[in-house]
Amino acid sequence: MTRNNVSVVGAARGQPMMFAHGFGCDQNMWRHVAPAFADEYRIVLFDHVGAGGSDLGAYSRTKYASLDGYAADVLEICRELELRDVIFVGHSVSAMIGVLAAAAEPERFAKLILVGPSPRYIDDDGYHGGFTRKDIEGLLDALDSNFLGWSHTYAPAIMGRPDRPDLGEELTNSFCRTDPEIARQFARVTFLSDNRADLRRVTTPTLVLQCSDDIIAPSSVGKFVHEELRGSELVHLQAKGHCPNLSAPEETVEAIRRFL
Amino acid sequence: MRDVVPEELLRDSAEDLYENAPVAYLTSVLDGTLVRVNQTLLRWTGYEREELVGRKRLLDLLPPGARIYYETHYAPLLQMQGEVREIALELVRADGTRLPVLMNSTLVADEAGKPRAVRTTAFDASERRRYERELLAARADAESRARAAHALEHIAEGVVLIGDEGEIQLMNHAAETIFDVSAAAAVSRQATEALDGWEGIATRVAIAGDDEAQVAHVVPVRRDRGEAWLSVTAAQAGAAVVYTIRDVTGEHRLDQVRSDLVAIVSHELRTPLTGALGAAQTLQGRYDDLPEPQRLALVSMIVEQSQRLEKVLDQILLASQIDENVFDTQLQSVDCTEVLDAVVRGVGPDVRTRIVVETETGLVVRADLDRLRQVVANLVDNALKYSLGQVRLAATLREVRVRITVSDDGPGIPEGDRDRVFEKFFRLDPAQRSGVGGTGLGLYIARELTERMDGRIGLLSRERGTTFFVDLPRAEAPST
Repeated sequence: MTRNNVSVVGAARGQPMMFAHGFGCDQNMWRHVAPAFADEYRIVLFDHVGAGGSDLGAYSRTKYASLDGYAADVLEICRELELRDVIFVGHSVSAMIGVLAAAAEPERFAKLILVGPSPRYIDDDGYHGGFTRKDIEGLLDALDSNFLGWSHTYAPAIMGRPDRPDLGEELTNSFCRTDPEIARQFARVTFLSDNRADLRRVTTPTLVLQCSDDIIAPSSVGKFVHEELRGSELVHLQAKGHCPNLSAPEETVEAIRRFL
Repeated sequence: MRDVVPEELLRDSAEDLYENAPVAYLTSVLDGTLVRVNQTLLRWTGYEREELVGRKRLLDLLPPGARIYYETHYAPLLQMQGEVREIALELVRADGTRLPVLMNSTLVADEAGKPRAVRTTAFDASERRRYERELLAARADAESRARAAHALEHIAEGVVLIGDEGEIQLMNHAAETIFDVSAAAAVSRQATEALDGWEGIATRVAIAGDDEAQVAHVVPVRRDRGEAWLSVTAAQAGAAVVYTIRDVTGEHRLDQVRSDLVAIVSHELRTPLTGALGAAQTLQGRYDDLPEPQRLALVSMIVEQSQRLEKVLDQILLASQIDENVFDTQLQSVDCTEVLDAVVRGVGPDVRTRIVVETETGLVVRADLDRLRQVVANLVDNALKYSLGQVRLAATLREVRVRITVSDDGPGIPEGDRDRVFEKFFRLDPAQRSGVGGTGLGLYIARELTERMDGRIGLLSRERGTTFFVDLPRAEAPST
């Protein structure tokens, strides 16, 4: 539990609702979405190994050389907390992590909510992932160049900023701490992965949230995911960009509520 | 103050300061669309204002890989923290070329605290980026050199780098061991002077050119204790020569031993066979001509030589069984006197007179009767072979052990060979100048058998001659 910095809030007897964050960030990215469900559901938040308050020492290149390693962690958390009928909300890469977890232990999950999912980012014959291999290398270069910049940005310096009252006082630690080396590996593993075949293995009822103008998970990919996941629902959000949970939390909450 | 500061500077408008700042300013709304940019940005990217404002997103000014980075890392962080500092990316100019920059962004909120816009500054980081790249390359280079040096220090083979003037430029740890000199003491000195035996290596080992295959030469070098054999290859490496050296003394010795074996064994087998065969053929051809005593003598010869042949074959077989670990020993209480008597009986009648037995009676050991007899017989055989006079057998009590000794007054064993006499196939006189012969297995077998009976075997220091001892655990007397 400490490995993944798990925190459980909300209705103690409620159906469990697990939120999984995407890249470059940690469980804090759900802070505008998760609380909306805290009355009815038991909210489970966690950090992937390498992000936020997770145990960096638990990172292993071999274990996390594929998304299965991350899916295994999710299942382990479910087991430890004895969660059943889990509603899994996964953003970006965590959407696929949820798919893998549900494919492995379908009896654990009641519903899947995938925000901006993509099973494969690099284009293939007859498949438009959105990127070329060269693009991915550009991403890894950018991560490399910002090794130092990242550490600097994450220095615990953001405390009670008067010009940003919305940040509030509760945030005393730096946001989105991510070990730069692990971040690079995570991005590498994710963007070079191909989990298209795993979509068919899932039978859990799923909601796919597709943003407008999301370059990471374009609408062609959202459509593909929706078609591969039997019985899934595809909802288009007005929100633009890749992180509607941050840029348009109300719309996100609404879409989820309607599905549940 | 007013007199010092030029008038016109004080009148610089905020507008001017903004437009022509030494950094690029970009303001975008939440969906990314650019709503305001300064002149510097336009100048740096070669765009016209109309092409950007209201038309393009900040994203569109980034190369594809960086766009992913922006959406997955930069933007979420900005949303979470309200600001992002010093991120190194590249802007893509209108002509497609790239400008390395350092970007900072802040999230601008309204009075209610709701995010409304993003203000970004970009610093030209071209020089810095170049410097960083060089630094990273230098670090990678240094790391790979360190790794190579580390690997070099740990490999089993010696590596010596010789400069074009014959001076030692580099020596790894294995080389230090081979030549018994520290790299610190040897580097910069002439190889021929600093390394024992280098002369031989330098003359005998051909230096392979760039694409040529390296051929190993085995070179003998003198050492304090005998000879060492080194397998050496040499290759041209720029202006210097790299020597790779492997100590093959052990293997060399083994090879020699193996070829000795063939010679030894064929000789040891052939000699008695020839003797027996010769005698048999004489009988066959001249049976009726030969007088009775001579005929009997020839028959004795056949028997003796055949027995000798049998003995040699038994030894070889036994040594082989020992190696393969496929024989057993049965330990029981054995009376030493019985063993020594049996050994004496087994020796030829003509040499029997040379043996003197001095033993305390009643000494009993825990051993395998047959094997112990073999051990002592081998020691006695050697003593008889290498000396001319008496051979003394004795058994004495030493606390909880019984010591059996076999002594002779022969030439003794040279100091340098004392460690090696028990080695398989080791013979004191390989060239057989003294005509003694033997397979070189006798002592090896004696040692192996002794140790398997929990005993110890060795040489005692004496002023003249040779004394072997065998120590065995004492036991209760046999119940018979």
